[in-house]
Amino acid sequence: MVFSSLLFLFAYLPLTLLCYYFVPRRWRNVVLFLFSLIFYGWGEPIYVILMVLSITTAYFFGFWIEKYRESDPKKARTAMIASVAVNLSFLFFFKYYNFFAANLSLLPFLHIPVIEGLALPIGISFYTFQIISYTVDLYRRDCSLQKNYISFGTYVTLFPQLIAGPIVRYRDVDRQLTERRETVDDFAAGVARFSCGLAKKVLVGDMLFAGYEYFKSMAAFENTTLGAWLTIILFTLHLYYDFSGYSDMAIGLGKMIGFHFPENFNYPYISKSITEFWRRWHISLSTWFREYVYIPLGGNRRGKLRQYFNLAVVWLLTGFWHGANWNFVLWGLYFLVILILEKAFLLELLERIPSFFRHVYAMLLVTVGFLIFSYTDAAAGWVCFQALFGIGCAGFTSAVASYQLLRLLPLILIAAVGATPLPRRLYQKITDRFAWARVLMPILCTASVILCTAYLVDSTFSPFAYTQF
Amino acid sequence: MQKKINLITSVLFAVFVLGFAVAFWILPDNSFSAEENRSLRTFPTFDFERLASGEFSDAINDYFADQFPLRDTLVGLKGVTEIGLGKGENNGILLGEDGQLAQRLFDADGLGDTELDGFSVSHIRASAEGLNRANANLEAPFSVLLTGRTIDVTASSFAYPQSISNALQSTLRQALDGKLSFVDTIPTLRERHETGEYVYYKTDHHWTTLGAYYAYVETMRSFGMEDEVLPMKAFD
Repeated sequence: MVFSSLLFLFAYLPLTLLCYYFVPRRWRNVVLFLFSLIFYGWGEPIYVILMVLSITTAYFFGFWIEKYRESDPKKARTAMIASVAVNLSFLFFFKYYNFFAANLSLLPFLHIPVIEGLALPIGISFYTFQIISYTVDLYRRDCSLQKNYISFGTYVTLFPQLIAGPIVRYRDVDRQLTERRETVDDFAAGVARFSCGLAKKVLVGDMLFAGYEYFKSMAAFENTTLGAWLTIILFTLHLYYDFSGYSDMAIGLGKMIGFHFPENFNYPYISKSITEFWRRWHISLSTWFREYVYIPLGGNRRGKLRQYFNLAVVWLLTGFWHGANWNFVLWGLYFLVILILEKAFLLELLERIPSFFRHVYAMLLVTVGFLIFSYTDAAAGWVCFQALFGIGCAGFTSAVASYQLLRLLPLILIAAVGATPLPRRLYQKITDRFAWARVLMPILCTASVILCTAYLVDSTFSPFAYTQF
Repeated sequence: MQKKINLITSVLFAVFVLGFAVAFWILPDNSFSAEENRSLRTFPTFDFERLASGEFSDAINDYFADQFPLRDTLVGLKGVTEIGLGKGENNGILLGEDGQLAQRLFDADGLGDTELDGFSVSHIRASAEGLNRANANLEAPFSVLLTGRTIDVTASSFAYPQSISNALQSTLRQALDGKLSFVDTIPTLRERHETGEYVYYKTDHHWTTLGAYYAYVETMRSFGMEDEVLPMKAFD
């Protein structure tokens, strides 16, 4: 199930909220757990079993870890590693088995069969990382044992962040599982956040995606420089609106039920360097890798060479986490190189140039990075890359490309401005000046939900096919 | 005051979502859409297989969209927004300067917009074959006239690139063998349209009676029968 669907908005959500608020407090986690399982199982009922298996494993190992973490650290460590290994093995198998089978089989002496029809259970990358965060946080004594199976299950399956994050670390949510208090203020803030995210996804993200797909497929017929640039620019904008929109909806939904999740995006496209970019983009993921891979490996506390090695591990894994494909590994590698260069001397250099150029530098690298990210077909990606510089093109533009650019321009400009803190600052200024302007909030929220509903309802509208006579 | 605002926000949201949810489930299904000239979907059949494959989920979302209360108003709202954003088209229908509506060429999803897509080309060629064959068995002279659509003739009123509009006529023309004569009404009709004459309907792909007259004149000219062309008054 997807948040931006009529089924979710007008069936699942009202039902869930009604049940949630109707039952006495101590039953609320049960409601959440059950409804979250329904939410997850709606698309793929079989994989609910897998997720419950992962949860149960970590739950039971948790007891061992807690029992031995003070008295016998070695045992506790073994328990932790065992738990993490089990969870990772599910992720590895479903997501990466075929990749390794196919690639290793390229070696002359190996033939590992590929499993046909092996599907990727939805959200497995997210919930596995969340479960691991519990196991490791418990071992590190950053949190206490969760004895209540329902509470733990609720943490993992919570429908707001189950499918697409943010990756919420257990310690950030530990107390909230049992001590949260829902308030009207939080609910309203949740509504605002949710409406904003919904608008970002439906009105901007999805529309930009259509433009991106159009230009990408056009390249096969008519390769133009403008077309190539628009392909990657539209993708870059679309991904932000789609992903951060989804995170906004997740955070908003969380607030509606009393949870406070950490932010996942912080206006990444105003970054002046790639280092800064990764502190603003998909924050929960880079935090996870820092906490559970980089720091355990020694971080930057074991000398420069070791630091570069640690960074390499983190970035190759980060890339690979996004998909079982070589282009994702390349994407990780791409950022690894840039980040090392920045750390070594580039950041210092950048300080000396005017900030406008620093923005251009960062955004160019990010956009080209997304070229690598969006083309799983290396040959097509290479054609697009060359086209950026005018190589192998029919020309700079074509009649159709110009037409499409012009008609999408207002949307692109709105998207560009919307990706900066400007609108928010403007809203703050207005409401600071004029207290009554606060009424903008319910108005904008309602308008957003109505308009998004209109777009969703329109999806099955087929204009009177008058060519049918 | 913020507390009041928060209360209003929460209530508005809850009312909207619950209100439409309840309305959706309570109101009886509409069976037919006059606007779209098709029957609207009913509740999809349920079985676990369809649920597992995701089919049921898609079907139920479509069902929601088809039966949503105030559907036509909401679709209109989207249309207004898209046009307001300067997109010039909505759901594959282009909007012209004068309120004209025309369906984008063949693919609403835009694939193969730079030339006719393979399917259309083969379709046109097949039709041309049929015409060629029919002519081979005839004694009488045979002419082909392919009536243009709004998008072909009034292309200048749309931002859409005109070069693509010509592809349809020229593809057919090339596929016909030389024994058939081809009456091309598009250039004269385009001229007439550009001087402001109302030769094609604005929200339909047909020519007006005036447009039909000019096509008739053009046809007579191609037969070499200009002298016998009846004036417009004769048709009143």
